[in-house]
Amino acid sequence: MKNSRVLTTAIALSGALYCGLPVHAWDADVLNVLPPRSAQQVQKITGQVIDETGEPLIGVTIKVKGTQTATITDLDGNFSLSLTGNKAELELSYIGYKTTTVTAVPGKVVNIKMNPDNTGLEEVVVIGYGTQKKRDLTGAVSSVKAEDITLSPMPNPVEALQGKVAGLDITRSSGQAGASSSMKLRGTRSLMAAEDGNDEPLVLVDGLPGSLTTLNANDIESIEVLKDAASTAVYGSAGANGIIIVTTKSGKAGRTKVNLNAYVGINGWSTVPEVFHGESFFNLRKQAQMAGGTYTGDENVFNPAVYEAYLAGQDINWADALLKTGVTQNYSLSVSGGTEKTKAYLSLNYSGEDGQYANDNYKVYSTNLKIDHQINKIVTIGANLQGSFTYKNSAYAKLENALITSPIGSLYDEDGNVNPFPVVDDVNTVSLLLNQKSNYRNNSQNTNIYLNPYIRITPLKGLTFESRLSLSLAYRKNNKFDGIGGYRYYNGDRNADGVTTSANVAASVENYNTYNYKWENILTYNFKIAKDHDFTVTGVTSWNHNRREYAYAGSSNLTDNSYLWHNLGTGSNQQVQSNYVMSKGLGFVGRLNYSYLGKYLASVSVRHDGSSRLAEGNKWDTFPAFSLGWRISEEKFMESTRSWLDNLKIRFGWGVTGTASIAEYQTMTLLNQSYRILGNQTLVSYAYPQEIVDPNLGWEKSYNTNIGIDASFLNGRIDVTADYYITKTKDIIWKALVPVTNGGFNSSTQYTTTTNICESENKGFELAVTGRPFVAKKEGDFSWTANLTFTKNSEKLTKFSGDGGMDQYINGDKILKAGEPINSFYAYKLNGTWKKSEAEEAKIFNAEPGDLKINCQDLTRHVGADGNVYYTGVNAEGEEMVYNAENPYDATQAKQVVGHPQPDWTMGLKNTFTYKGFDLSIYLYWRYGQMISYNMLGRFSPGGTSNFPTYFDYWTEETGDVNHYFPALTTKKGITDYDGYSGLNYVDGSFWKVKNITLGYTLPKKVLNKLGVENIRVYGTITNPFVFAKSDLLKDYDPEMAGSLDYPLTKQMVFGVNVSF
Amino acid sequence: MATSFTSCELDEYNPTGGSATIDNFATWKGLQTQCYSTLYHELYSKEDFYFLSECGTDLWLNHGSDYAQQIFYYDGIGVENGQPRKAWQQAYSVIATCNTVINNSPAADASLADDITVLKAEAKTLRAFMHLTLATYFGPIPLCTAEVGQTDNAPVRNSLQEVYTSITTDLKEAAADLEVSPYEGNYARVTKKTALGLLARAYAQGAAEGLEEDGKSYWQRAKEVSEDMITNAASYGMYLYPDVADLWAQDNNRNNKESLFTATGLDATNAEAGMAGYYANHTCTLGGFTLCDPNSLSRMYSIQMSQNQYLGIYGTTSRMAPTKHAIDVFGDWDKRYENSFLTAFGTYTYPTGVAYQYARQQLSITSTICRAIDIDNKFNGEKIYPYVALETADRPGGTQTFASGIYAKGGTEEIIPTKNALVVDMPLAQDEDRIRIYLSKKDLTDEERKQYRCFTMNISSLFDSDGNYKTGNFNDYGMTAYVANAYSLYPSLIKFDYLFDGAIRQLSTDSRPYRNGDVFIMRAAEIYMIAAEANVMLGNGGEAARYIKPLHDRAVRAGSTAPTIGDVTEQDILDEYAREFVGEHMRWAVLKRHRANGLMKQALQLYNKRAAENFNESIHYWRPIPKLFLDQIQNAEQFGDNGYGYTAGKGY
Repeated sequence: MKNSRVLTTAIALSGALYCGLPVHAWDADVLNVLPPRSAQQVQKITGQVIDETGEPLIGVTIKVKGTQTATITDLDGNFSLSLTGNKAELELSYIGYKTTTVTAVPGKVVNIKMNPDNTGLEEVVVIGYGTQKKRDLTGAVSSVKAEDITLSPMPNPVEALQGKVAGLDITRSSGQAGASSSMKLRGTRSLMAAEDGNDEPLVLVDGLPGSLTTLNANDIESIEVLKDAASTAVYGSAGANGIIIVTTKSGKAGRTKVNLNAYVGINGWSTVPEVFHGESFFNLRKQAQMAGGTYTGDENVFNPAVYEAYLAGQDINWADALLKTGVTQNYSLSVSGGTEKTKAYLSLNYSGEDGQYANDNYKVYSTNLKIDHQINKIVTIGANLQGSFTYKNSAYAKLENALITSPIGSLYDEDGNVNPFPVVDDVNTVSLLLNQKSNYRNNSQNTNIYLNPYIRITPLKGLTFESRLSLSLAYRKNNKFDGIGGYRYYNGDRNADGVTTSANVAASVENYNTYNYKWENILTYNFKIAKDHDFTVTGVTSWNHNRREYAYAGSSNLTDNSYLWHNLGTGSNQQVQSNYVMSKGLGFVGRLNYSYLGKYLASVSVRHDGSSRLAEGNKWDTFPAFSLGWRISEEKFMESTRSWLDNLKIRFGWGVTGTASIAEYQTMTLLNQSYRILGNQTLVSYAYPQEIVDPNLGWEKSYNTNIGIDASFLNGRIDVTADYYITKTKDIIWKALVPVTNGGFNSSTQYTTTTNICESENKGFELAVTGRPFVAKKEGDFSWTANLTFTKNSEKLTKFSGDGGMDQYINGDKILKAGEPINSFYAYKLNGTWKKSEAEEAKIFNAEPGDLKINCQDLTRHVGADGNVYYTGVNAEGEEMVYNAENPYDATQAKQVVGHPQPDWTMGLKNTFTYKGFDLSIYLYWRYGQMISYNMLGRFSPGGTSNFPTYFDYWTEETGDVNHYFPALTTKKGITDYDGYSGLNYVDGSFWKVKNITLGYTLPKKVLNKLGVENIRVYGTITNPFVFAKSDLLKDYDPEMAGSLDYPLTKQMVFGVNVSF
Repeated sequence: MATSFTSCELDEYNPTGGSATIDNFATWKGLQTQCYSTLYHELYSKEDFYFLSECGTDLWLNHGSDYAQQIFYYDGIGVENGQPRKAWQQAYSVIATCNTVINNSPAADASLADDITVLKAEAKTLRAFMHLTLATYFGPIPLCTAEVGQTDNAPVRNSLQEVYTSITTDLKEAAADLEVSPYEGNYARVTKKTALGLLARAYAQGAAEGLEEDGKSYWQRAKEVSEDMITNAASYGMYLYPDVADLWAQDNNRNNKESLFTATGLDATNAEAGMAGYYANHTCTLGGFTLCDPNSLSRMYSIQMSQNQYLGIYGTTSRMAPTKHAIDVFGDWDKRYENSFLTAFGTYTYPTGVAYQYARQQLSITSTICRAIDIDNKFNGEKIYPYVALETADRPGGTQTFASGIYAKGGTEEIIPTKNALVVDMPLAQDEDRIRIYLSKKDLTDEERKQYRCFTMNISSLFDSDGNYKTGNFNDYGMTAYVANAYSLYPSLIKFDYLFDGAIRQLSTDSRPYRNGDVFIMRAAEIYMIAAEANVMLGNGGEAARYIKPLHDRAVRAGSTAPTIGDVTEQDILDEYAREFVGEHMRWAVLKRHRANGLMKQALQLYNKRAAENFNESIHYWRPIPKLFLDQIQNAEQFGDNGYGYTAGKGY
């Protein structure tokens, strides 16, 4: 009766969907009925379990079917079991191997061979608030195993995921030590979140908020990426951008296991565009002056002091002077073990990375501690602790400035000190090398602690109640210091004496204190009805409360560099700030998973979610989702295909997710106090906050449909997963600027209002294929595994909400426009330069040969009967116009959508080969169709006044009839004098790269056994060895950097060892 | 379980936001203070509005640069130009705040009723002033009537009549409610005379648009308001200094008696105002744009401390140089010339640093120098002495540098008090021995020129035949290499170059020291000018002379007499505005008032040829509506851009 009550409750909770089902036939398994006790004597079964290559398998679980009797195999694969009865069905299970059932007779030794399960169907996959076998999955979920993350070491685990999950776009745009990678799942949907960089998938470590970047990669057991709404809707607003669930390693009962991983290597060798030097720089400027008619002799090409230095042969390679190679290293140690009741896992990790600039470095110290204790058959408790401390020094990284800085001069004086001005008498150029540890610091220190205690109660089989708490404490400190003698000091005052302090000497301290907690209660009940109907009911409550405090102190005119930021009180212009923000959220979830004979699968969920950030009355909303799966391969009519088809499943999912990704307090109006000095009276003043409340601000919602196929052929030799999705996002939240005719926050800053403005649509296709052309029959055989992931995503803004008739919104060089991808680049499209032979045609655009040719998409080109070229187009008044030299066209109005920052497609291909003890993996990565705004291209200097890369192909009188990208080199014009110059930056950023190559060697078992060690592998990895950009304009540039060059991406070569015993 | 969460409400707690609401008097008053935020902070201390209000006229050229050619010369002016965009934004930014103040009465006891009335009247004055600024430069603008927090993404323009009616109504109501003395004795606040003065200005500006009030022309109304103010000057607290030198005396910069409306800077001598970090945003950069760089003649005028400065005032970006007309418009009797323009440059002493002691700041004239600067050899062996004595003082706002006086002639170290160390009596006396460089307004013959004990050149020789400044080396003009850089000199407007204690200047290694002197938004002389102008426009040029005379009388140099003023013409009015108000954020608006008779176009043709070439009368009488704004509204096409080609139509 008790059970039926629970069941009834559970069904009611899930919306009484299946109330019509008969509730009578109880499966013995569910009721946990033991066989009747008898007088039969106890007998022993012994045996050994080996793998497909004949090697013993350690740790295989062997269970006597129908009983609670179970054991695991020892180091030699041996086991022994006691049982009562004449014979028994033994069920053997081991991760990565097919579950095997054998019949054993007591007294006889059984030798059992287990075969690997290449289909992975039995693998347990972590989903929201629970787990599922891969076989039963109905949502779009990708799994990445630990080996994939640790095989080729990366500074942080996120980077290791690049190209390995179809649909997850990962880029690292900066080579700065400790720079993080950015993740984007299935394109851009939420504008505000994209703007703030908050549109990354939520990372949950063991089900609760955690950090992936500071997590030790060696502690990761598996990573699951939940991609479609059917999978993520149970997380409500938090799941809108996808969920990444990281499962960390736990202790296991049995022998204590120790893992030691270490690598050390070199980081650096960025390719940097070659710029002009010495004579070539001189000639460049001379040529510009000659073309511009301002050349009056070699001695006047530079100013006298610079000319003197030039004649003396003083030359600087700024890139060489600034960039060096650094050391990257990682050491991690983990110890795990435990008894049947108590299991523990402890890891310690140190990771250090030196960037390419002096004083650019990043260190992480982290630990992971996990304890689980079974108090009795019903109650288990445990806790995880993830702690990390990071210490990061950022350099004054101005490589872009360095490359365009005059190369003439000398870096050091006779005593080896840095010259503030490389040409002593030319104060126009301040040395970028001035900042050193003694006069410049920019460091941040982060302490993060996640503590997750839980209690799990399993009162009866299939029923689990878990209550868990996540406490997250983060303390961040940013320290900045610009001292006497540094770059800012001399740059701010070219006449500074190097001793006296000034307003350019400044220091500051910032402190962020974040403390969040989350409390979740999860009730899961798994039961069967009439043997074949398998149900799992899940109910969840989730409450979170987040708080952050901030304090800032800064001052300037500090008189002693040794103070750093530790004596701000002695400075002038003292500034103090502090603030506090908080937010809360609450969610209720109900979900029902159903499986009929493992053939027909269904999942229905609903989340009722509330966020304090939204306006009163709009705080709450409901997010439903469902998904269906059909394992066609299990059908009778498919029996004939069993020989080659292991699995074929079709999945369909639909769901709604929401976003309230706006800052705290956006829906509150209060007047902020300040002061104003007015006519020498200090008055209290009040001002409205910059954000104007939209009382109607509500949830941004994405409606996602996902169709997927999973197929596996030839005993797992080929494994395919394909997904197609459409996501329509409505009421997209955007911080719009309020027209100043409604007032301004201050004289230069407009009011903003966060409001729901538009709708978008994302469509995409994802494919993951694993092929195993060669599978090792026995240990040491050659094997080859290829993993391919492919992602194609297209997104567009479909329409603006409301009846305002707004059809576009320009935001800097980006545009929101109906029909175009979100945040498309809006700029001049350039068709090279006007040729000499086109001089007449150029006049139509008020241009001359050597000027930029702006693509005017609204015009049509004609050649008249007399051979003269003219253009026609419709002007703003709607009249058809003819444009010719007499009536020229203003091409500066011809900005257009030139591209989008998101790629059209990405692809990752990993080939892994093993032979004997060797393993070799080569990983290639493609990212195509994205546009980038490459800063260096806009740095072209027509007068040769500043330096630029030598490969820049500019127009000259001599080559006036050849295609050129850059306009004429001449002192007559500055770059801004060329109409359309701002379009120079935009370039196709498509590329592919060899992301890494790893060669490893695992010591033979025989040797290991002698050493008493379980495993030793040594390896070497090269990261980023080759990059191939599609555009010629990206010479010596890795387009993954997305346009900036101050921190170029590095190549790495590391050597490492993995030891376990 | 769900029930256990019912206590968890999704409320937010925001201590940083405070608990202030508009119905509290102190908060409401604090919001009212905010209405003053734009005046000094942006409009009247930064280059953008300065260029917009003064350039593109007959008085200013850009010296040696094409910077802001759109504003100086209408060359390529369009919707993307920063100066109109900033003015648009700055002026509009406070109006909604004014509206909130005006429309909401805080809860307060009866004793504060008068305070509320006055503070509301101040907000009305500021609202009207901002609307007037916008209407002057942009024409038919949308009146901002909404309070903060309301958003209209499709604003609609009002007619000029509606705009001016709103402005004049606000000002009349404000004038009725405001007191003669400022609220809480704070001279930064607007008073009755401010509202009335702005009313006169609004009528004059609106008159050019042909507007009327109750059947009376706006010129008539301008005449009535200005004459009333002049007749009853004492009762409104309106005042003219009897000597124009006092108007510009450094000690009178703060709380100037002649001011009707002041943009006030911070006072570094005020302990309360010594709030760090506040200065950087409240520094007046105007003086730096008008000051030329005498140091470019480094052999004649060498200041080791830094380039580009005069008396420690840095001319960081020399840009605005007067047209020849702006110099010639002054008569030989008129000391407003030297009170406006610096044309004689001397050196200074400074208490710290050996190099700046009196002895070290003397220039010994050798025969080589005589040849090099082309002066009579009789000066061989003579000296040129320092002119100004600077001193320093530590104040709450930082170390101050200011003039304690000027040195007497003859090489004695006697320091004579001066009203303004930047003002040198003109024309320069022949026995002057403290000046290194002299730019003569009068065309001197070579013989006359050689009789000065300094490098002397005629201002006229700085200009080419088109009236533009010559560029490049003056070798070509027969000058020696010693002074070949003289092309970088020009008469420098000094109205915003502060040299008094409290203007937070620091003569140290800072290349951009803070400057925080006050700037006139309106002063009493303008009322006299409006009275004269209105009379001329109403056909009464003889009556107009009455109002110009007081301005002349106080400007006459000792020993000179001002010419008798006869029947005043419209052109005379423009010239008088130039003499009285050159550089005071007014020229473009004043010229535009007289466009009907072609005087603006003519002024450009005569004195600013490059501007005249680009000037298109069908467009350029209104500044472009900023693209940034048009891109943010939903009805850009309907709104129009004033004819600059970004939208199909002008929009009015």
